[in-house]
Amino acid sequence: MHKISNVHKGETVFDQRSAAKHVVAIVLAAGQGRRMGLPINKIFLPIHGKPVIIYTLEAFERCPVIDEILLVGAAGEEEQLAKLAQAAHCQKVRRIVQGGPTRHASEQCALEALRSRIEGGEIDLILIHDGARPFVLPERIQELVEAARACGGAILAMPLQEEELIVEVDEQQAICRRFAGQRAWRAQTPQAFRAAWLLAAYDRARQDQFEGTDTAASLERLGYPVAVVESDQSNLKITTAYDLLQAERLCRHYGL
Amino acid sequence: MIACQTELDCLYCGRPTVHTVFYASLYIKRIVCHRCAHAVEKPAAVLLRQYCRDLPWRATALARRLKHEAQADPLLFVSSLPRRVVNKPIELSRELAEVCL
Repeated sequence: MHKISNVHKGETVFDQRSAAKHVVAIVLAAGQGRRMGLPINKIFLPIHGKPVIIYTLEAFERCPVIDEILLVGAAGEEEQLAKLAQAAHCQKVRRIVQGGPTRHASEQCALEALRSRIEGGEIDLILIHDGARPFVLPERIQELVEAARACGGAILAMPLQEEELIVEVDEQQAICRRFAGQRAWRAQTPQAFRAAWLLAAYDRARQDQFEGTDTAASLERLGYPVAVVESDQSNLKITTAYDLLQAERLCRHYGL
Repeated sequence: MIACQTELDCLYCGRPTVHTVFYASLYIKRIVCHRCAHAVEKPAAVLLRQYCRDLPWRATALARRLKHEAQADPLLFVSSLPRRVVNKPIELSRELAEVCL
């Protein structure tokens, strides 16, 4: 437990949270919109009058295990993000950094921004989350953090439906592997990892010019263990028109 | 009616394309792909049901906001009332027209 002095009031308070290392959530909001010269990045689309990204940030705001949020925005959108976060009273958003041309590059930008604090041992765990997944539940984030503390790395995922099947095909488009329901899971975000592992994995990925489809891929290739925490369909990523309509329904369902 | 353009994956084009999202009041009314013109549209009856269901909640929120404003600055609140009394019904009828048409 750290003892900290409040110089303004002449009081001394004990802040239990300061004793534990930080848990930082990196929210990826760089998207594609502005890069394509479009007026709106989908994370700014309103659902019931509130932008998608604010629902996402509020989930982390409500989660007590998250100490800080680092937002990764597209070039030119940082100010807009800052204004939105401020208007929505998102107090855990401490910094907004500019992302890169790909998801992996944006993650690397965020890790560079945190490098000195990770190397200094100030940050314990890092969660990486897609800004376009607005309905992740705070309880699920908490479970994920606990799993990552125990295992070193953990991701949210949901099993396929029983009747669903995923197949791997070869160059001749012939099936070479089958993954039936319950054995195959859909990976989601957030994905949580020990900060030092994550930084080492991304440094190595840069050396090897490796770009994973998700964060966990960069760690798995180096043999770091990654656990799975069961999630559900409500943690949807808004990618299609139908997802937007579903997001509107979920918003009503959760009373957000 | 508010319209926003953004990039979404189109299931028919099989790739990310520019879409226009049309809103009626606070609700999504129609989403159209610019490339293939495929449209996802909410039936007017569904939209109207959504709108009517949320009206009591919006009225409560408005009352709360008005009370807060009246307490914070009574003079400003009173001076804004005539404009609001005229504008609110116009705003509601405009919203209703967007939802129903």
